Amino acid sequence: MAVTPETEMERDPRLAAAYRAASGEEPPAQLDAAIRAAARREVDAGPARPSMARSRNWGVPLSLAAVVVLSVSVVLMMQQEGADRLESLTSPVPAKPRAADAGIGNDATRSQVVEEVLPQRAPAPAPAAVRVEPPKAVSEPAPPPAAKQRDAETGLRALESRVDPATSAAEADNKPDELKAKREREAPTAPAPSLLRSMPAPVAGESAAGAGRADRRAPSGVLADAPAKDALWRDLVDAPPEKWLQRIDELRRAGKVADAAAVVAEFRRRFPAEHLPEGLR
Amino acid sequence: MPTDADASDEVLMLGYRDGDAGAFDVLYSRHKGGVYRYLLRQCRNTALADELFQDVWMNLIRARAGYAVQARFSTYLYRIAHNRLMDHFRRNNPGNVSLDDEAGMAVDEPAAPRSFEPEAGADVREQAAHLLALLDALPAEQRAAFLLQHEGGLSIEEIATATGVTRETAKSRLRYAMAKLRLGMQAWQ
Repeated sequence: MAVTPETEMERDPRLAAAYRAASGEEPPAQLDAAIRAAARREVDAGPARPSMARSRNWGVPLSLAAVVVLSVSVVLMMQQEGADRLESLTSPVPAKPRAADAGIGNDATRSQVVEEVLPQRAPAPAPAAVRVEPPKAVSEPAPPPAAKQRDAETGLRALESRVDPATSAAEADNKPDELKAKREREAPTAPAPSLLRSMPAPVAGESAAGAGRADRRAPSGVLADAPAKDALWRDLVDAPPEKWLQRIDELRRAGKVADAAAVVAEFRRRFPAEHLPEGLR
Repeated sequence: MPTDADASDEVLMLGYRDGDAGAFDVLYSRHKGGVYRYLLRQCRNTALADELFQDVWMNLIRARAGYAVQARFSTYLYRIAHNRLMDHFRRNNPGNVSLDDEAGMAVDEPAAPRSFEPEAGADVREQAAHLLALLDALPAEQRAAFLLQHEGGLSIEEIATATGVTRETAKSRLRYAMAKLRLGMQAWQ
């Protein structure tokens, strides 16, 4: 019989016979017994579980169907939530409770539930009732027209540096009378020294004597804003600091300590860089 | 129902899947020697061969519920054995397991492979020992191809299926293995 190379390669009877002669190894007897016993136990344990191959047959279609159902559900939920959000943003009325939350599906029952649910909620408090005083504390007595002009010139930042809303609110709550008195004293006065430094240089109207100290003096416009009742220093508006100091000293000597203190306060506002002698403090 | 000892492997395995413990005994008796020697020649350690052998059959027992006839039972069984063996190699010598490379194939193959013929009166046991030594010297892939053919009775296609390679690769491995063994056994001619 002609033997092709492949057949000869696949099967070599003599080599196979030699290998069979060398193949006498067998597994140990106890191993045989253990494996046979395990096989019997497996059979005795009960019928074979469902075939994994069969479960794989319907597993893939089931997975695809589940993915499709979940995707559609998510999209529908997103659309519904988006509509609710848009409605709540565009309508001043509080948003309706979601139908999914209430467990209802049609508009009639939904509106009924809205009527039942909304009254149970705490009514939305009015903005004025909710606020805790800061606006009232911050608000000052209506400033004179000049003060308004000053605020416009210095800007909001300067205003905030003058009044701290938090501390003002606390003061307003704790010491309303003191704050009121303090504000009455401060209201007609000139701005704080820091504000004065940021203000423009003195304008026309100042005296020649005061011109040399223009860098340390307040502009005449600010002085003109002072109320007429402040007659204690009205004639000193354009006077140099020495005149102010002289007036303070005169008042103190006359025993008018309160008037002297008022003039000192005005002097400090007008000449923040000027030194006040200890005897006049 | 009594087990038919002449039934095919596939029928016996289906019978065991359906609860016939006797079918497993027949199957086990048919294949236990071949599987054991396949593992023993590959791992070269009796204790390890025992462990792997038990694992192979336990895997078969656990997988009985999912068994379906898609190939010869011996192909199925030796594939389990081969996979268990490769798992062991990977676990104990990671990075040094080359199942698909052609290492060791560049041998001086005889121009015309010839069958060796044991001399009359020669010591058969010496020949067997010499053949086993030659077999042990083969690369693992070639040795596996030879063992699967001679222990499991697998064809080239079935060897390819059991080892997870192409038919040409399996054929090449078997060809080189046979050539080396013949060459080594020329001294016994």
